[in-house]
Formats: sequence, C-alpha cells, structure tokens
Amino acid sequence: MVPVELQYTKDHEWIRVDQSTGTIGITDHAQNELGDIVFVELPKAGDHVSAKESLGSVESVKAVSDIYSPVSGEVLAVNAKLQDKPELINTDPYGDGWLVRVSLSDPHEVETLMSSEEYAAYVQDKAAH
Amino acid sequence: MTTGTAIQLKRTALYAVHKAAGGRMVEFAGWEMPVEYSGIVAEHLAVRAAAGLFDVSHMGEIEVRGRESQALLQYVTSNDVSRLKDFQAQYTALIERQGSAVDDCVLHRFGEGHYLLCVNAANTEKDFAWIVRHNRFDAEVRDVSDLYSQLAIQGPRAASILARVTSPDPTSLAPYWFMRARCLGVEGLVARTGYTGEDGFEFYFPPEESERVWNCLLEAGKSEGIVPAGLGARNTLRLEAGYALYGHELDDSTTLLEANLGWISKLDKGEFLGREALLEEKREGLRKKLVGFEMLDRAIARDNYRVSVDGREVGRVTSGSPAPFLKKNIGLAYVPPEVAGAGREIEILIRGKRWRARQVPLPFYKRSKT
Repeated sequence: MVPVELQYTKDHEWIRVDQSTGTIGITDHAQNELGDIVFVELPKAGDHVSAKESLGSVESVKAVSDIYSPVSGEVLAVNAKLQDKPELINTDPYGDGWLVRVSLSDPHEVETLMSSEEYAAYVQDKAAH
Repeated sequence: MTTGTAIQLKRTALYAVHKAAGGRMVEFAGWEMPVEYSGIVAEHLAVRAAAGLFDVSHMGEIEVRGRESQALLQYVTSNDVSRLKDFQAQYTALIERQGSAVDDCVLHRFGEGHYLLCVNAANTEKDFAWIVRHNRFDAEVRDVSDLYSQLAIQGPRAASILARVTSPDPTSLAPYWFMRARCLGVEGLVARTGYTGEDGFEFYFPPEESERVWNCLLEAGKSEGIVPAGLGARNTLRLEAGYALYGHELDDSTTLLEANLGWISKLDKGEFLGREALLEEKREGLRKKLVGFEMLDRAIARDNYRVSVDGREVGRVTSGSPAPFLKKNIGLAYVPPEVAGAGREIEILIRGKRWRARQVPLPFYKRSKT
C-alpha cells in the first residue's frame, strides 16, 4: 500500500505536500515492521524541524524507532489523537495516523524525496536482500 | 534488520508453516524464528485469557545418562538434583566457579541414571562443552537437540485443549512434572512447564511430525481461542512473570544470588561449581541486585538504558518493555543493594532525558489460582 500522491524517504516516512505545508507520517511498511505501536513522542507546535533529523520517535512493543523529518520547517500542528490512540498509526498510517504538519522552509527539499513508484521499488529491493 | 548475514541461520521443522501463517521471521540465537503472527499484544493477551502455541524447537536438549549422572549434574548445576523424583523436573542453572550462570535450564529426571536438560538455544553448544569438560564421572553426555521439536502450549485453556488430543490425560500432571504421552498419535514427552506465567505444557517429540502436530493443536484449540504466538509475546509474557532471560538478566558477570536465584542455589547440597563463590557473596553481601520497576511517566524503558538515582548512574536496565496485560511500562534492572527496595524511585535515561520509575515487587504478574 503506497499512495501515489505522497513523497517518501528511505527511512520510511511519507509527506503530503499542499502548497507550502506538508503533513508527515510513517509508511504502511514501517508500521508493519514495527508492529503494535504503543507510544509516540512528537515535537510541539512552533518547534523547528530539519530535514533528515529526528523529529520524534515511535515505539512498538518490541522496539523504538526514530522518525526523521523529510523536510525542514516549523511545526504547525501535531496529531493530538496519537497520545491516547497511538495504534491509529497501525490502522491508518496515511490517514488518521499522521504525525505532524509543518510549514516548508525550503520547498526544493521535496524534490530529493522518492515518488511512490521509487519507494515501492526501494521496499521490494530491501526485502529481496 | 537490513544487513545481510553470512551465517546460515538454522530453521525449525516448522519454518514453512510459520511463513505461511504470516509469521514475521527474525534472527534469534542463530535461528530464524517467528517473532509475531497477528501481533505481540494480541498474542500476549490470548495467552493470558485462553491459550497460545509457541514453536520453541530452537531450544537445546542435552541428555545425561550413566551410573554417576546424578553426581555429574549435582556438580555442574546449582539446584539439588537429589530432590528430583522420577518424571519430575526442576528449574536450575549450569554454574560457573565464580557463581554466575553458564545457562539457566530445566532438568528432567526419567529415573536413576537418566536425565534430560532443556537449555537455551544460543547456549546449547557452550553448555554441552561445559558439562563434558567437568565430566570426571561415569556418565555419558549427548547433545540430542536434533531429535526433538518442542512446542509450548500455554494459557488457562492449555490443559483442556491438550487433554482432548493426548493420552494419558496430561491434566493429572502437577507443575514441573512430566510424562511419556501420545499427543495426536505422536509419542513424546509432555511436561507441565513453561515460560509465560500461565499454566501450560511443553511437548517434546520427533521433528518429522512437527507440521501435523502444530496444525492439529491449533485446530483442536480453535473453539477455545488458541493462537500461534511468537518470540515477541514469549518475551513480554516472561517479563511480566518476572522470569530471567539469559543474555539479559543472566550473564557471566552476574551471580545467581544477584539475579534473585538464591532459591535454585542449594548451598547445603554438597560440593558443586560456584558454591564457594556464592557462600562468600552471602557472607560479604551482594554487589548488585535485580529489581523490577514500572515507569511513572509514559516513556518506555528498553534493554541497556541507564538507571540513575538523584542524577547519579547506578545501573542498567536488563529488560524493558510495555507490558501488554498489565498495561504499564515495566522493566528489570541491576542496582546497588542500598538503592534496591520496592516503592523507591529510580530514574531511567531515555534519549537524553531522565524519566521517573518506581521499584515494585516481583513478579509483576502472578496468575490467580482457580
């Protein structure tokens, strides 16, 4: 399940770009690898995030995983529902399981990300090794 | 998780069945094992409420036979072998001279001069070599791991499920007793043992029959809610039950007394490896102590995170995880004895920040007797 309208990172985050803002989450592949997600640590609105740097973490029963921001910018909103229902990331990774919304400080960063086809091939390639 | 490995991983006879059932396969102790099927939480809760079926065929089995096999086992293990009756089992440890565990294991006695040790997969070769090295007795030691598949059927419904397909009726077994039995027509050993904190059984049998036994047990227990369960749930279940895991709570720098395993260290049974060291530690006092804790904040402690008190580092977490049944974030850690004590607070360093935790009595979870 790799929605075509999103851009992807090698660390399995997605971003939905809408003009100058981007909504960020983790992919279906990532949530499936992690298993039952039980805790999410996210930045606050107003915090600055940088591309390829950790913006928080997602924890499943068995492991903790850093989330790397696909882009740089200021956090506009965080998904407050995840505090009590982190499992939304498992059940709806591209919808209700979104993590943060940011304003893009450099829209060109999006061009370095993978398309859905590239990401699907990337995941398949990794699975083969 | 992405690195290729040159080492050929071992597979149990059920590898294909796990793959077909959607098991997520991971490397564990040199084996390619299912860590989860439907999910760790669902599997964990199924074992607490109904039953789970685990493939634990990676575990090793070492047979000790011969006139002086009891004497050999008394010398290399910490528990008192002479207390075992025929077809009784005991939790014990192979012990180093300095009082640490070579491995923790379950010893089964068939009769005079015939014993079977069930040991951790990662330690099988080491354990075998260790026993052989100390075998100055009239006893024969054999690694018979390849002769057995091992399934664990665990949970409050395990007994009624297993009874339906096994004879003689295994529900007559008391905890830590075993018998020869036919399960689904397959001759093997049924022991009332486990690693989950629930009632349950472990079935040792010839690997050739593995697929049929696995599938039929799942079928037999379907109406009672049995599910296949992986190593992920096995770990969270044993942690809630406060059981040690070799490589986490037990290693060569930790004595049995420090690991709260004084109850399997029978210092009055006569000479054995490690006895002097344990006696001395008893006189001098422990250097560290294993404690249980639960997080007071929402953060999750993980293996090897640092433990501090008033900002001063005092130890490390040995196992830390969310506890799916207790719905708390719990862990085990070694701390200096002067810091240990249920109710006292400690701090866990998590990604650069100290989070509060409170020590609690062990085990975290104890099943209610019905």
